[in-house]
Amino acid sequence: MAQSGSGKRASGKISNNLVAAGSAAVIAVYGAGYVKTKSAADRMEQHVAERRPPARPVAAAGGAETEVQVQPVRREAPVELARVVEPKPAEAKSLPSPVVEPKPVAAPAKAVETAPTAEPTPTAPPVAVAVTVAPPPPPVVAAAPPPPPPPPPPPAPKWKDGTYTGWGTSRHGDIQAQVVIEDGKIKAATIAQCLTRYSCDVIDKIIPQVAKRQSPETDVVSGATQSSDAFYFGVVEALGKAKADAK
Amino acid sequence: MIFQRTEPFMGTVVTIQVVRDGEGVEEAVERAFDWFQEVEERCTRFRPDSELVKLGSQVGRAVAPSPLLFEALQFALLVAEECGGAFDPTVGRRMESLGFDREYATGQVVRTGTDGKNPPSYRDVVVDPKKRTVRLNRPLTLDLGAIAKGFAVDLASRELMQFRDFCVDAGGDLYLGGLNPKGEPWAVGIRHPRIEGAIFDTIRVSNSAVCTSGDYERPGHVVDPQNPESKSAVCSVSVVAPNAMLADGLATAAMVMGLEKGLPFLEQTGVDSLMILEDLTSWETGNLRRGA
Repeated sequence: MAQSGSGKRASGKISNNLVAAGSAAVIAVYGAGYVKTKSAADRMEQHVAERRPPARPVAAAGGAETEVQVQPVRREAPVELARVVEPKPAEAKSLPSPVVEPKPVAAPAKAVETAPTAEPTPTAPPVAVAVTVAPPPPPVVAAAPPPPPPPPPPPAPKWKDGTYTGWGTSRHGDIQAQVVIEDGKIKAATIAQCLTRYSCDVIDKIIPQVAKRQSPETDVVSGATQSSDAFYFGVVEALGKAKADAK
Repeated sequence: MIFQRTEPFMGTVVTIQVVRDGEGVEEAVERAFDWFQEVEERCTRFRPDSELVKLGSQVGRAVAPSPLLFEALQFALLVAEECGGAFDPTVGRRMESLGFDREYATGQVVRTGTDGKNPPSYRDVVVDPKKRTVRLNRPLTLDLGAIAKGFAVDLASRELMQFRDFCVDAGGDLYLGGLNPKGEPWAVGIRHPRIEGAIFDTIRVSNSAVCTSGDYERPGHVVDPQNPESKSAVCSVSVVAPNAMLADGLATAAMVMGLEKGLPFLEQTGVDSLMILEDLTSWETGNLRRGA
Protein backbone atom coordinates (compact mmCIF):
# COMPACT_ATOMS: atom_id res chain seq x y z
CA MET A 1 0.00 0.00 0.00
CA ALA A 2 1.16 3.50 -0.54
CA GLN A 3 -0.07 6.99 -0.41
CA SER A 4 -0.66 8.00 -3.98
CA GLY A 5 2.32 9.68 -5.54
CA SER A 6 4.83 8.39 -3.01
CA GLY A 7 5.92 5.61 -5.35
CA LYS A 8 6.17 3.19 -2.45
CA ARG A 9 4.16 0.10 -3.02
CA ALA A 10 4.19 -3.18 -1.27
CA SER A 11 3.62 -6.29 -3.30
CA GLY A 12 0.22 -7.87 -2.77
CA LYS A 13 -0.86 -11.45 -2.66
CA ILE A 14 -3.56 -12.27 -5.11
CA SER A 15 -6.48 -13.76 -3.33
CA ASN A 16 -6.95 -16.64 -5.71
CA ASN A 17 -9.75 -17.86 -3.55
CA LEU A 18 -11.96 -14.86 -4.18
CA VAL A 19 -10.97 -14.37 -7.79
CA ALA A 20 -11.58 -18.03 -8.58
CA ALA A 21 -14.85 -18.04 -6.66
CA GLY A 22 -16.08 -14.99 -8.53
CA SER A 23 -15.16 -16.43 -11.91
CA ALA A 24 -16.66 -19.80 -11.01
CA ALA A 25 -19.92 -18.13 -10.00
CA VAL A 26 -20.13 -16.26 -13.28
CA ILE A 27 -19.37 -19.36 -15.31
CA ALA A 28 -21.84 -21.47 -13.35
CA VAL A 29 -24.66 -18.98 -13.74
CA TYR A 30 -23.80 -18.17 -17.32
CA GLY A 31 -23.80 -21.87 -18.16
CA ALA A 32 -27.01 -22.59 -16.31
CA GLY A 33 -28.60 -19.39 -17.51
CA TYR A 34 -27.73 -19.73 -21.14
CA VAL A 35 -31.19 -21.14 -21.66
CA LYS A 36 -32.49 -17.87 -20.32
CA THR A 37 -30.52 -15.68 -22.68
CA LYS A 38 -31.01 -18.12 -25.49
CA SER A 39 -34.71 -17.52 -25.12
CA ALA A 40 -33.96 -13.82 -25.52
CA ALA A 41 -32.02 -14.60 -28.66
CA ASP A 42 -34.83 -16.80 -29.92
CA ARG A 43 -37.30 -14.05 -29.19
CA MET A 44 -35.29 -11.73 -31.39
CA GLU A 45 -35.14 -14.32 -34.15
CA GLN A 46 -38.86 -14.78 -33.85
CA HIS A 47 -39.32 -11.05 -34.23
CA VAL A 48 -37.27 -11.12 -37.37
CA ALA A 49 -39.04 -14.22 -38.68
CA GLU A 50 -42.40 -12.62 -38.07
CA ARG A 51 -41.43 -9.92 -40.50
CA ARG A 52 -42.63 -11.00 -43.86
CA PRO A 53 -40.16 -11.56 -46.63
CA PRO A 54 -40.19 -8.73 -49.12
CA ALA A 55 -43.20 -9.37 -51.31
CA ARG A 56 -43.40 -6.40 -53.56
CA PRO A 57 -45.80 -6.35 -56.45
CA VAL A 58 -44.02 -7.56 -59.55
CA ALA A 59 -45.32 -4.75 -61.69
CA ALA A 60 -44.02 -2.15 -59.33
CA ALA A 61 -40.76 -3.84 -58.62
CA GLY A 62 -39.30 -3.49 -62.08
CA GLY A 63 -36.63 -6.06 -62.64
CA ALA A 64 -33.55 -6.15 -60.52
CA GLU A 65 -35.24 -5.48 -57.22
CA THR A 66 -37.78 -8.19 -57.68
CA GLU A 67 -37.61 -10.98 -55.20
CA VAL A 68 -40.61 -13.12 -55.55
CA GLN A 69 -40.84 -16.53 -54.15
CA VAL A 70 -42.94 -18.68 -56.29
CA GLN A 71 -45.14 -21.43 -55.28
CA PRO A 72 -44.96 -24.31 -57.72
CA VAL A 73 -48.06 -24.66 -59.75
CA ARG A 74 -49.16 -27.86 -61.37
CA ARG A 75 -52.13 -27.75 -63.54
CA GLU A 76 -53.77 -30.11 -65.89
CA ALA A 77 -54.56 -27.37 -68.32
CA PRO A 78 -52.86 -27.71 -71.69
CA VAL A 79 -51.18 -24.35 -71.51
CA GLU A 80 -50.56 -22.29 -68.48
CA LEU A 81 -48.75 -19.11 -69.13
CA ALA A 82 -46.39 -17.52 -66.74
CA ARG A 83 -48.01 -17.28 -63.42
CA VAL A 84 -46.55 -15.56 -60.45
CA VAL A 85 -47.94 -16.49 -57.14
CA GLU A 86 -47.48 -14.25 -54.20
CA PRO A 87 -46.03 -16.08 -51.24
CA LYS A 88 -47.89 -16.54 -48.06
CA PRO A 89 -45.91 -15.59 -45.00
CA ALA A 90 -46.43 -18.83 -43.22
CA GLU A 91 -45.17 -20.81 -46.15
CA ALA A 92 -42.24 -18.64 -46.97
CA LYS A 93 -39.70 -20.63 -45.01
CA SER A 94 -40.54 -24.07 -46.22
CA LEU A 95 -41.15 -23.48 -49.84
CA PRO A 96 -39.42 -25.89 -52.16
CA SER A 97 -37.38 -24.48 -54.96
CA PRO A 98 -39.62 -23.12 -57.61
CA VAL A 99 -38.88 -25.70 -60.21
CA VAL A 100 -41.79 -27.17 -61.97
CA GLU A 101 -41.49 -30.08 -64.26
CA PRO A 102 -43.76 -30.09 -67.21
CA LYS A 103 -46.28 -32.74 -66.70
CA PRO A 104 -47.54 -34.66 -69.67
CA VAL A 105 -51.18 -34.17 -70.10
CA ALA A 106 -53.61 -35.45 -72.55
CA ALA A 107 -53.50 -33.41 -75.67
CA PRO A 108 -56.55 -31.34 -76.09
CA ALA A 109 -58.66 -31.70 -79.11
CA LYS A 110 -57.68 -28.27 -80.32
CA ALA A 111 -54.14 -27.77 -79.22
CA VAL A 112 -52.53 -24.66 -80.39
CA GLU A 113 -49.24 -24.72 -82.22
CA THR A 114 -47.66 -22.17 -79.95
CA ALA A 115 -48.24 -24.16 -76.86
CA PRO A 116 -44.85 -25.86 -76.58
CA THR A 117 -42.98 -22.61 -76.86
CA ALA A 118 -45.02 -20.71 -74.36
CA GLU A 119 -42.74 -18.50 -72.35
CA PRO A 120 -43.05 -15.54 -70.10
CA THR A 121 -43.44 -12.38 -72.05
CA PRO A 122 -40.13 -10.58 -72.62
CA THR A 123 -41.35 -7.62 -70.70
CA ALA A 124 -41.88 -9.64 -67.58
CA PRO A 125 -39.28 -8.99 -64.90
CA PRO A 126 -36.69 -11.69 -64.38
CA VAL A 127 -38.43 -13.45 -61.64
CA ALA A 128 -38.69 -17.07 -60.90
CA VAL A 129 -41.70 -18.25 -62.74
CA ALA A 130 -43.76 -21.33 -62.53
CA VAL A 131 -44.68 -22.52 -65.92
CA THR A 132 -46.53 -25.58 -66.83
CA VAL A 133 -46.35 -26.41 -70.45
CA ALA A 134 -47.85 -29.13 -72.43
CA PRO A 135 -45.60 -31.58 -74.24
CA PRO A 136 -45.43 -31.38 -78.01
CA PRO A 137 -48.84 -32.33 -79.18
CA PRO A 138 -49.33 -34.76 -81.97
CA PRO A 139 -49.30 -33.05 -85.33
CA VAL A 140 -52.60 -31.60 -86.07
CA VAL A 141 -53.85 -29.22 -88.59
CA ALA A 142 -53.06 -25.75 -87.55
CA ALA A 143 -56.06 -23.93 -86.36
CA ALA A 144 -56.59 -20.28 -85.80
CA PRO A 145 -53.89 -18.26 -84.06
CA PRO A 146 -54.02 -18.49 -80.34
CA PRO A 147 -56.60 -16.31 -78.76
CA PRO A 148 -55.10 -13.66 -76.55
CA PRO A 149 -55.52 -14.44 -72.89
CA PRO A 150 -58.50 -12.65 -71.51
CA PRO A 151 -57.53 -9.47 -69.73
CA PRO A 152 -57.66 -9.97 -65.99
CA PRO A 153 -60.48 -8.15 -64.33
CA PRO A 154 -59.34 -4.96 -62.62
CA PRO A 155 -58.41 -5.91 -59.08
CA ALA A 156 -60.65 -4.61 -56.39
CA PRO A 157 -58.91 -2.10 -54.16
CA LYS A 158 -57.10 -3.90 -51.34
CA TRP A 159 -57.75 -1.13 -48.91
CA LYS A 160 -60.74 1.09 -48.33
CA ASP A 161 -60.08 4.81 -48.32
CA GLY A 162 -59.79 6.34 -44.92
CA THR A 163 -57.41 6.85 -42.02
CA TYR A 164 -56.49 3.83 -39.97
CA THR A 165 -54.33 3.28 -36.93
CA GLY A 166 -52.66 0.24 -35.44
CA TRP A 167 -50.44 -0.57 -32.50
CA GLY A 168 -47.10 -2.31 -32.70
CA THR A 169 -45.32 -3.50 -29.61
CA SER A 170 -41.71 -4.09 -28.71
CA ARG A 171 -39.81 -4.65 -25.53
CA HIS A 172 -38.81 -1.01 -25.61
CA GLY A 173 -42.38 0.23 -25.82
CA ASP A 174 -45.23 0.64 -28.26
CA ILE A 175 -45.77 2.64 -31.41
CA GLN A 176 -49.12 3.61 -32.89
CA ALA A 177 -48.88 3.88 -36.65
CA GLN A 178 -51.39 5.82 -38.75
CA VAL A 179 -51.98 5.02 -42.39
CA VAL A 180 -54.00 7.14 -44.82
CA ILE A 181 -55.57 5.31 -47.76
CA GLU A 182 -56.64 7.31 -50.82
CA ASP A 183 -57.88 5.81 -54.09
CA GLY A 184 -57.15 2.39 -52.67
CA LYS A 185 -53.49 3.19 -52.16
CA ILE A 186 -51.34 4.14 -49.21
CA LYS A 187 -51.15 7.89 -49.38
CA ALA A 188 -49.07 8.36 -46.26
CA ALA A 189 -47.96 6.67 -43.08
CA THR A 190 -47.01 8.40 -39.86
CA ILE A 191 -46.34 7.67 -36.23
CA ALA A 192 -49.41 8.75 -34.26
CA GLN A 193 -48.00 7.92 -30.83
CA CYS A 194 -44.49 7.04 -29.81
CA LEU A 195 -44.37 5.28 -26.45
CA THR A 196 -40.97 3.68 -26.85
CA ARG A 197 -38.20 4.21 -24.40
CA TYR A 198 -36.21 5.99 -27.09
CA SER A 199 -37.23 8.77 -29.40
CA CYS A 200 -38.95 7.60 -32.57
CA ASP A 201 -36.71 9.98 -34.52
CA VAL A 202 -34.35 7.06 -35.01
CA ILE A 203 -36.76 5.44 -37.46
CA ASP A 204 -37.79 8.64 -39.26
CA LYS A 205 -36.21 7.61 -42.51
CA ILE A 206 -38.14 4.37 -42.89
CA ILE A 207 -41.58 5.92 -42.41
CA PRO A 208 -41.97 7.25 -45.99
CA GLN A 209 -41.04 3.82 -47.32
CA VAL A 210 -44.51 2.56 -46.47
CA ALA A 211 -46.18 4.85 -49.04
CA LYS A 212 -43.34 4.51 -51.49
CA ARG A 213 -43.45 0.73 -51.42
CA GLN A 214 -47.20 0.45 -50.80
CA SER A 215 -46.31 -2.05 -48.15
CA PRO A 216 -45.39 -2.27 -44.48
CA GLU A 217 -42.08 -3.78 -45.60
CA THR A 218 -39.69 -1.07 -44.59
CA ASP A 219 -36.01 -1.37 -44.01
CA VAL A 220 -34.80 -2.06 -40.49
CA VAL A 221 -32.80 0.70 -38.83
CA SER A 222 -29.60 -0.75 -37.44
CA GLY A 223 -29.54 -0.29 -33.72
CA ALA A 224 -33.28 0.37 -33.66
CA THR A 225 -34.60 -3.05 -34.61
CA GLN A 226 -37.20 -3.01 -31.90
CA SER A 227 -38.62 0.37 -32.89
CA SER A 228 -38.53 -0.59 -36.57
CA ASP A 229 -40.47 -3.75 -35.80
CA ALA A 230 -42.98 -1.95 -33.57
CA PHE A 231 -43.67 0.48 -36.41
CA TYR A 232 -43.97 -2.39 -38.88
CA PHE A 233 -46.50 -4.23 -36.74
CA GLY A 234 -48.45 -1.00 -36.24
CA VAL A 235 -48.67 -0.48 -40.01
CA VAL A 236 -49.66 -4.12 -40.50
CA GLU A 237 -52.51 -3.73 -38.04
CA ALA A 238 -53.68 -0.48 -39.62
CA LEU A 239 -53.62 -1.99 -43.10
CA GLY A 240 -55.49 -5.01 -41.75
CA LYS A 241 -58.32 -2.71 -40.72
CA ALA A 242 -58.31 -1.02 -44.12
CA LYS A 243 -58.44 -4.40 -45.79
CA ALA A 244 -61.28 -5.60 -43.60
CA ASP A 245 -63.27 -2.48 -44.46
CA ALA A 246 -62.71 -3.08 -48.16
CA LYS A 247 -64.52 -6.40 -48.04
CA MET B 1 -17.88 1.71 -36.07
CA ILE B 2 -19.04 1.53 -32.47
CA PHE B 3 -22.27 -0.12 -31.44
CA GLN B 4 -23.69 1.48 -28.31
CA ARG B 5 -26.91 1.07 -26.40
CA THR B 6 -28.10 2.50 -23.08
CA GLU B 7 -30.89 1.21 -20.89
CA PRO B 8 -32.06 1.87 -17.34
CA PHE B 9 -31.53 -1.03 -14.96
CA MET B 10 -30.90 -1.56 -11.26
CA GLY B 11 -31.44 2.05 -10.32
CA THR B 12 -28.85 3.34 -12.73
CA VAL B 13 -28.14 3.74 -16.42
CA VAL B 14 -26.37 0.87 -18.12
CA THR B 15 -24.39 1.55 -21.28
CA ILE B 16 -22.84 -1.15 -23.42
CA GLN B 17 -20.34 -0.35 -26.13
CA VAL B 18 -18.91 -2.81 -28.61
CA VAL B 19 -16.01 -1.32 -30.53
CA ARG B 20 -16.59 -3.12 -33.82
CA ASP B 21 -20.15 -3.31 -34.96
CA GLY B 22 -20.96 -6.34 -37.02
CA GLU B 23 -22.70 -9.65 -37.30
CA GLY B 24 -24.36 -10.74 -34.09
CA VAL B 25 -23.47 -7.66 -32.04
CA GLU B 26 -27.00 -6.41 -31.57
CA GLU B 27 -28.22 -9.85 -30.52
CA ALA B 28 -25.36 -10.30 -28.04
CA VAL B 29 -26.03 -6.88 -26.53
CA GLU B 30 -29.70 -7.84 -26.22
CA ARG B 31 -28.68 -10.93 -24.28
CA ALA B 32 -26.28 -8.87 -22.17
CA PHE B 33 -29.07 -6.51 -21.13
CA ASP B 34 -31.24 -9.51 -20.36
CA TRP B 35 -28.76 -10.48 -17.66
CA PHE B 36 -29.28 -7.15 -15.94
CA GLN B 37 -33.01 -7.78 -15.94
CA GLU B 38 -32.55 -11.32 -14.68
CA VAL B 39 -30.21 -10.31 -11.85
CA GLU B 40 -32.41 -7.38 -10.88
CA GLU B 41 -35.55 -9.52 -10.77
CA ARG B 42 -33.96 -12.19 -8.63
CA CYS B 43 -31.68 -10.22 -6.34
CA THR B 44 -33.55 -7.05 -5.47
CA ARG B 45 -34.85 -6.66 -1.93
CA PHE B 46 -37.24 -3.94 -3.05
CA ARG B 47 -39.81 -6.17 -4.68
CA PRO B 48 -41.90 -8.37 -2.41
CA ASP B 49 -42.06 -11.02 -5.13
CA SER B 50 -38.34 -11.18 -5.83
CA GLU B 51 -36.65 -14.50 -5.21
CA LEU B 52 -34.36 -12.87 -2.63
CA VAL B 53 -37.26 -11.56 -0.56
CA LYS B 54 -39.10 -14.87 -0.80
CA LEU B 55 -35.98 -16.66 0.37
CA GLY B 56 -35.80 -14.32 3.37
CA SER B 57 -39.18 -15.62 4.54
CA GLN B 58 -38.06 -19.26 4.59
CA VAL B 59 -36.47 -19.55 8.00
CA GLY B 60 -35.11 -22.77 9.49
CA ARG B 61 -35.21 -25.01 6.47
CA ALA B 62 -32.95 -25.63 3.54
CA VAL B 63 -34.28 -24.31 0.25
CA ALA B 64 -32.77 -24.56 -3.21
CA PRO B 65 -32.78 -21.18 -4.91
CA SER B 66 -32.05 -20.57 -8.58
CA PRO B 67 -28.41 -21.01 -9.66
CA LEU B 68 -28.10 -17.24 -9.99
CA LEU B 69 -29.27 -16.47 -6.46
CA PHE B 70 -27.34 -19.37 -4.98
CA GLU B 71 -24.06 -18.33 -6.59
CA ALA B 72 -24.54 -14.68 -5.66
CA LEU B 73 -25.29 -15.57 -2.04
CA GLN B 74 -22.45 -18.04 -1.80
CA PHE B 75 -20.00 -15.47 -3.13
CA ALA B 76 -21.36 -12.76 -0.85
CA LEU B 77 -20.83 -15.01 2.17
CA LEU B 78 -17.29 -15.78 1.04
CA VAL B 79 -16.46 -12.07 0.79
CA ALA B 80 -18.10 -11.52 4.18
CA GLU B 81 -15.91 -14.24 5.67
CA GLU B 82 -12.75 -12.84 4.07
CA CYS B 83 -13.33 -9.32 5.40
CA GLY B 84 -14.59 -10.37 8.82
CA GLY B 85 -18.12 -9.22 8.21
CA ALA B 86 -17.36 -5.66 7.07
CA PHE B 87 -19.32 -6.62 4.02
CA ASP B 88 -22.41 -8.54 5.08
CA PRO B 89 -25.35 -9.61 2.90
CA THR B 90 -27.65 -9.54 5.94
CA VAL B 91 -27.52 -5.79 6.49
CA GLY B 92 -30.90 -5.22 4.93
CA ARG B 93 -32.73 -4.39 8.16
CA ARG B 94 -30.25 -1.71 9.11
CA MET B 95 -30.31 -0.29 5.61
CA GLU B 96 -34.07 0.02 5.97
CA SER B 97 -33.75 1.75 9.34
CA LEU B 98 -31.44 4.29 7.72
CA GLY B 99 -34.03 5.06 5.10
CA PHE B 100 -32.89 2.87 2.23
CA ASP B 101 -36.29 1.33 1.91
CA ARG B 102 -37.67 2.56 -1.35
CA GLU B 103 -37.92 0.75 -4.62
CA TYR B 104 -36.25 3.25 -6.94
CA ALA B 105 -38.59 2.60 -9.86
CA THR B 106 -41.89 3.00 -8.02
CA GLY B 107 -40.96 4.92 -4.88
CA GLN B 108 -42.86 2.29 -2.92
CA VAL B 109 -41.64 1.75 0.66
CA VAL B 110 -40.67 -1.83 1.33
CA ARG B 111 -40.32 -2.96 4.93
CA THR B 112 -39.40 -6.33 6.25
CA GLY B 113 -40.21 -7.62 9.68
CA THR B 114 -36.88 -8.62 11.13
CA ASP B 115 -35.76 -7.82 14.65
CA GLY B 116 -33.32 -4.91 14.85
CA LYS B 117 -32.31 -5.34 18.51
CA ASN B 118 -30.23 -8.44 18.08
CA PRO B 119 -28.98 -8.03 14.54
CA PRO B 120 -28.38 -11.13 12.48
CA SER B 121 -25.16 -11.62 10.57
CA TYR B 122 -23.88 -13.52 7.57
CA ARG B 123 -23.14 -16.42 9.91
CA ASP B 124 -26.89 -17.00 10.18
CA VAL B 125 -26.96 -17.93 6.52
CA VAL B 126 -25.74 -21.45 5.77
CA VAL B 127 -25.11 -22.66 2.24
CA ASP B 128 -24.61 -26.28 1.26
CA PRO B 129 -22.42 -26.26 -1.87
CA LYS B 130 -23.15 -29.91 -2.63
CA LYS B 131 -26.90 -29.80 -2.35
CA ARG B 132 -26.88 -26.17 -3.49
CA THR B 133 -29.28 -25.18 -0.75
CA VAL B 134 -29.50 -22.17 1.56
CA ARG B 135 -30.79 -22.18 5.11
CA LEU B 136 -31.51 -19.12 7.21
CA ASN B 137 -31.09 -19.84 10.90
CA ARG B 138 -33.21 -16.86 11.95
CA PRO B 139 -35.35 -14.18 10.38
CA LEU B 140 -33.20 -11.67 8.55
CA THR B 141 -33.18 -9.37 5.56
CA LEU B 142 -30.86 -10.29 2.73
CA ASP B 143 -29.25 -7.53 0.68
CA LEU B 144 -27.10 -8.31 -2.33
CA GLY B 145 -26.95 -4.70 -3.46
CA ALA B 146 -23.18 -4.57 -2.99
CA ILE B 147 -22.45 -7.34 -5.47
CA ALA B 148 -25.55 -7.83 -7.63
CA LYS B 149 -24.71 -5.05 -10.05
CA GLY B 150 -21.18 -6.37 -10.39
CA PHE B 151 -22.56 -9.84 -11.01
CA ALA B 152 -24.81 -8.50 -13.76
CA VAL B 153 -21.84 -6.68 -15.31
CA ASP B 154 -19.85 -9.94 -15.30
CA LEU B 155 -22.65 -11.95 -16.87
CA ALA B 156 -23.29 -9.29 -19.49
CA SER B 157 -19.56 -9.17 -20.24
CA ARG B 158 -19.55 -12.90 -20.73
CA GLU B 159 -22.00 -12.47 -23.60
CA LEU B 160 -19.69 -9.96 -25.24
CA MET B 161 -16.34 -11.75 -24.84
CA GLN B 162 -16.54 -12.92 -28.45
CA PHE B 163 -16.13 -9.32 -29.65
CA ARG B 164 -13.01 -8.78 -27.49
CA ASP B 165 -13.16 -4.96 -27.36
CA PHE B 166 -16.17 -3.74 -25.41
CA CYS B 167 -17.28 -1.81 -22.35
CA VAL B 168 -20.11 -2.46 -19.92
CA ASP B 169 -20.79 0.57 -17.75
CA ALA B 170 -23.41 0.24 -15.02
CA GLY B 171 -23.15 3.54 -13.20
CA GLY B 172 -19.74 3.16 -11.60
CA ASP B 173 -19.41 -0.59 -12.04
CA LEU B 174 -17.53 -1.29 -15.22
CA TYR B 175 -15.97 -4.10 -17.16
CA LEU B 176 -13.57 -3.11 -19.89
CA GLY B 177 -12.82 -5.77 -22.47
CA GLY B 178 -9.76 -5.44 -24.72
CA LEU B 179 -9.00 -1.98 -26.05
CA ASN B 180 -10.93 1.22 -26.65
CA PRO B 181 -11.80 2.55 -30.14
CA LYS B 182 -8.36 4.15 -30.37
CA GLY B 183 -6.68 0.81 -29.80
CA GLU B 184 -5.49 1.78 -26.32
CA PRO B 185 -6.35 0.43 -22.89
CA TRP B 186 -9.63 1.95 -21.72
CA ALA B 187 -9.33 5.17 -19.70
CA VAL B 188 -11.52 5.18 -16.60
CA GLY B 189 -12.05 8.43 -14.75
CA ILE B 190 -12.33 8.15 -10.99
CA ARG B 191 -14.89 10.68 -9.89
CA HIS B 192 -13.90 13.43 -7.51
CA PRO B 193 -15.76 12.68 -4.29
CA ARG B 194 -16.49 16.26 -3.42
CA ILE B 195 -16.58 18.27 -6.64
CA GLU B 196 -19.54 17.52 -8.87
CA GLY B 197 -18.51 16.57 -12.37
CA ALA B 198 -14.77 16.63 -11.69
CA ILE B 199 -12.37 13.72 -12.22
CA PHE B 200 -10.02 12.93 -9.35
CA ASP B 201 -7.78 10.54 -11.25
CA THR B 202 -7.71 8.56 -14.47
CA ILE B 203 -6.57 4.98 -14.73
CA ARG B 204 -6.02 2.69 -17.70
CA VAL B 205 -7.34 -0.86 -17.71
CA SER B 206 -7.90 -3.73 -20.11
CA ASN B 207 -9.82 -6.96 -19.55
CA SER B 208 -10.62 -5.91 -16.00
CA ALA B 209 -13.49 -4.65 -13.92
CA VAL B 210 -13.42 -1.32 -12.10
CA CYS B 211 -15.92 -0.69 -9.35
CA THR B 212 -16.18 2.32 -7.10
CA SER B 213 -17.97 2.51 -3.79
CA GLY B 214 -18.46 6.04 -2.57
CA ASP B 215 -20.56 8.13 -0.27
CA TYR B 216 -21.45 10.70 -2.93
CA GLU B 217 -24.22 9.00 -4.90
CA ARG B 218 -26.27 8.32 -1.78
CA PRO B 219 -24.44 9.77 1.22
CA GLY B 220 -24.19 7.18 3.97
CA HIS B 221 -25.27 4.28 1.79
CA VAL B 222 -22.32 2.17 2.87
CA VAL B 223 -23.18 0.88 6.32
CA ASP B 224 -20.80 -0.84 8.71
CA PRO B 225 -22.84 -3.87 9.77
CA GLN B 226 -20.94 -4.16 13.04
CA ASN B 227 -21.31 -0.52 13.98
CA PRO B 228 -24.30 1.05 12.31
CA GLU B 229 -23.62 4.49 13.77
CA SER B 230 -20.12 4.77 12.37
CA LYS B 231 -19.22 6.77 9.33
CA SER B 232 -15.90 6.01 7.79
CA ALA B 233 -13.63 8.87 6.87
CA VAL B 234 -13.21 7.27 3.47
CA CYS B 235 -15.04 9.06 0.66
CA SER B 236 -14.57 6.50 -2.04
CA VAL B 237 -12.80 3.26 -2.87
CA SER B 238 -12.14 2.10 -6.42
CA VAL B 239 -11.03 -1.47 -7.03
CA VAL B 240 -9.65 -3.04 -10.20
CA ALA B 241 -10.21 -6.80 -10.29
CA PRO B 242 -10.64 -9.63 -12.78
CA ASN B 243 -14.40 -9.59 -12.29
CA ALA B 244 -16.87 -6.92 -11.28
CA MET B 245 -18.62 -8.91 -8.57
CA LEU B 246 -15.33 -9.17 -6.69
CA ALA B 247 -14.40 -5.54 -7.31
CA ASP B 248 -17.86 -4.49 -6.13
CA GLY B 249 -17.71 -6.54 -2.93
CA LEU B 250 -14.15 -5.52 -2.06
CA ALA B 251 -14.82 -1.83 -2.68
CA THR B 252 -17.87 -1.95 -0.42
CA ALA B 253 -16.01 -3.86 2.29
CA ALA B 254 -13.01 -1.50 2.23
CA MET B 255 -15.30 1.50 2.31
CA VAL B 256 -16.84 0.16 5.52
CA MET B 257 -13.51 -0.87 7.03
CA GLY B 258 -11.93 2.52 6.57
CA LEU B 259 -8.30 3.38 5.99
CA GLU B 260 -6.77 1.51 8.92
CA LYS B 261 -8.33 -1.86 8.19
CA GLY B 262 -9.52 -1.48 4.64
CA LEU B 263 -6.22 -0.63 3.02
CA PRO B 264 -4.36 -3.65 4.49
CA PHE B 265 -7.32 -5.79 3.48
CA LEU B 266 -7.13 -4.60 -0.12
CA GLU B 267 -3.38 -5.08 -0.02
CA GLN B 268 -3.84 -8.64 1.12
CA THR B 269 -6.28 -9.49 -1.63
CA GLY B 270 -3.74 -8.28 -4.18
CA VAL B 271 -6.07 -6.05 -6.19
CA ASP B 272 -5.20 -2.62 -7.57
CA SER B 273 -7.18 -0.01 -5.71
CA LEU B 274 -7.49 3.67 -4.94
CA MET B 275 -8.90 4.98 -1.67
CA ILE B 276 -9.82 8.66 -1.35
CA LEU B 277 -10.25 10.17 2.11
CA GLU B 278 -12.29 13.06 3.39
CA ASP B 279 -9.23 15.34 3.33
CA LEU B 280 -8.78 14.35 -0.35
CA THR B 281 -5.56 12.47 0.28
CA SER B 282 -5.48 9.18 -1.55
CA TRP B 283 -3.96 5.78 -0.95
CA GLU B 284 -3.50 2.95 -3.34
CA THR B 285 -2.59 -0.72 -3.50
CA GLY B 286 -1.22 -2.82 -6.31
CA ASN B 287 -0.03 -1.16 -9.46
CA LEU B 288 -2.57 1.20 -10.94
CA ARG B 289 -1.76 2.33 -14.44
CA ARG B 290 -2.48 5.97 -15.04
CA GLY B 291 -3.07 8.08 -18.09
CA ALA B 292 -5.79 10.33 -19.36
